[in-house]
Amino acid sequence: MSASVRSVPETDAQSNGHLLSVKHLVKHFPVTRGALIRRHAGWVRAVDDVSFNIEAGETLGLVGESGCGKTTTGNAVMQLEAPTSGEVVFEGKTITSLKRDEQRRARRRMQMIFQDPYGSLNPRMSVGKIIEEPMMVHKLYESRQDRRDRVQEILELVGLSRTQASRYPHEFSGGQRQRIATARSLAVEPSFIVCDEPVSALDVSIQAQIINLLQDLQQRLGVAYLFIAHDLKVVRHISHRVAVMYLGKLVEVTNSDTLYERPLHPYTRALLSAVPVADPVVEAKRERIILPGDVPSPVNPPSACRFHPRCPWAQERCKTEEPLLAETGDGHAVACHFWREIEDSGGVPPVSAAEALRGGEARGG
Amino acid sequence: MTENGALLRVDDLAVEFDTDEGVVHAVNGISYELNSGDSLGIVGESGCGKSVSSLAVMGLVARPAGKVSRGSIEFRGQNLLDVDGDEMRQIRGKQIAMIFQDPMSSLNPVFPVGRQIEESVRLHLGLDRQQARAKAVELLDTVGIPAPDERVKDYPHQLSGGMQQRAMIAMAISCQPDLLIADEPTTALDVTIQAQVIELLAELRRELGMAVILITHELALVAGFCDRVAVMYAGYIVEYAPVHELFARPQHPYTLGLMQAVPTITGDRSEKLSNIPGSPPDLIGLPQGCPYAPRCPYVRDACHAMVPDLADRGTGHPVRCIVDPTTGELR
Repeated sequence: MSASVRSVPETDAQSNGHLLSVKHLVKHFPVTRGALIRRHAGWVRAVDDVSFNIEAGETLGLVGESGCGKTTTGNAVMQLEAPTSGEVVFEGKTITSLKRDEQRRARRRMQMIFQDPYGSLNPRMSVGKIIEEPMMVHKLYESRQDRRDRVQEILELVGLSRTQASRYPHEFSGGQRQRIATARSLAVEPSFIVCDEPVSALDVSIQAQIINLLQDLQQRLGVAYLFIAHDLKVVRHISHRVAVMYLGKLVEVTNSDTLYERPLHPYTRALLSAVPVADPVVEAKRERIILPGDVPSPVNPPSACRFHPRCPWAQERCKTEEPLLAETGDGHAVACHFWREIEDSGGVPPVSAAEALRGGEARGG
Repeated sequence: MTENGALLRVDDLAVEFDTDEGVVHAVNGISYELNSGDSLGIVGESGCGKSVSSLAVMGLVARPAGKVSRGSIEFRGQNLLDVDGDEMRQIRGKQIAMIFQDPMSSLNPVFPVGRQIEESVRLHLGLDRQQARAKAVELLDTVGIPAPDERVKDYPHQLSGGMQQRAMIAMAISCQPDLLIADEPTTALDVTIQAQVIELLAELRRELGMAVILITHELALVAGFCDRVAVMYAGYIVEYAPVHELFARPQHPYTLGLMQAVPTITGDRSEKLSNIPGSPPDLIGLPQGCPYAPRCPYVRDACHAMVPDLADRGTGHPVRCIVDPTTGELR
């Protein structure tokens, strides 16, 4: 399909001790028109030059609204979709330049949990088989009995009982299915798991069960997570660091503890202020930052800073010069020309919520 | 048409559905009251009966499988369960309007949004074609859709999710209803768009003086929007309180569990979320006794004997529980 412009890595082991290192990751999808004769009509710039690192045993949260490219980032890291360009270095190996079967071997240590616990489990396989399959694919255990023992062990690890191995997915609730998916990902002893919206299909009381399970497993097994979600509350709770994504770009990367106290990017500020707080007293006093309009289309994203059409603080420079993600100290990074000025002014937007509500654009892009 | 009476008075409403597996007891006798301009939040997880109870108010419980098995729904002093289909059609859309979670499937994909709004105002307000078009443009403008005279010709798929929901809201308020039922109106939307839509609903409620029932699974959403909250579980209202009272002094173990299960944006990250063990009960064979008992950390033997009453105890904050979770003692 697309011509991949893959940069050649100089050497392997460019990870500088990081468990996972993503460098200048780009994923563009071609847009075609016409039914019989397909013409190339442009690119969806789903992920555009995204770089981040994840340490062993760490959780990096990746948060953003629908269409921001967070899921594509996860898929590209897993090599489920070949990136257009950029590098993914995992455990010292540049997996983006490996051959297919080498990639598959390297991927044993990387696993994935998906959003939909109904669609991601094979309904014709028993739970035991589902968990056993990845061990067989990677030829992990010699004997069948060893594999079966391991299945039982993992079932207990995720809070299911040994006897449930012979049951089928439809016999389980959404929360239990997500435990099964987690068990499957753990079967091959990964050091890193991409969790793509693992709790957003679940009811709140069940969400907490899965979040606690993932945290428990991390403590016991030292596994690292890339936790992709749209719910800022959940991401902040489970992650050590949070990366905020908007239209294919990272706009801010920060420590979870400072996320609420000191957001720097206008988009992060708006996201935080949009999250309802379970306290009527706080809600009555809160001044919301309401963003005008919708997220523009990634097909023809806005020039320079992609957030400028919706940003209450936008200035001329934002339309012409792209702000790069730059360190501000303490591992905090932000991609905004005016974050200092905004912070100094107390973060109160020059446009009121009521004005923003009326000033929306019908369609982006 | 009692002017000083309640706008809506739901009394002991029960709804059940006949299925191949048995009778699903979706709503098991709920009661609440709403005055003009009030806003009530109905909060609960999937299958708690929050949507079904509101569909019953709209007269939209799917027959023949579903039926209101007891109770009454008084709207402006008239029991809606007694009115016939034609009369109900006059009330629905004109005096009581509803918006749903998924705007795309609530809008007709083959007609422009403007035409769908016009249909309702022509039917209920008796406007002619031109007046209806003008009204549609005005309504789209009211809900903050830019260039409304252009957008009025757009088909639903040409609008984004947030704009579709605004178009739905425009349609819902077209006849200035006394009551708007919003069933998870922002669940399908992104957070920043959710904030826009909630802000818009709050503004319209103030301006038009309409009462709003907000149905949601998210407790935090009602905190900023509603005056009173009903928390539902397994078809029962388990707690019913003014919003400040509910968040300051939650009294039912389920409400408490819900509050502690959700991470907050300001909360201490090192604290573990307390989870509610197990999952909600099967509404087909509800066990005798309190439906929350199997998951409740405060459970007593007496809880399995019978469903406790939604008892007020003179606090104006009725709770369906015999234990006080703040002390762990019997009430």
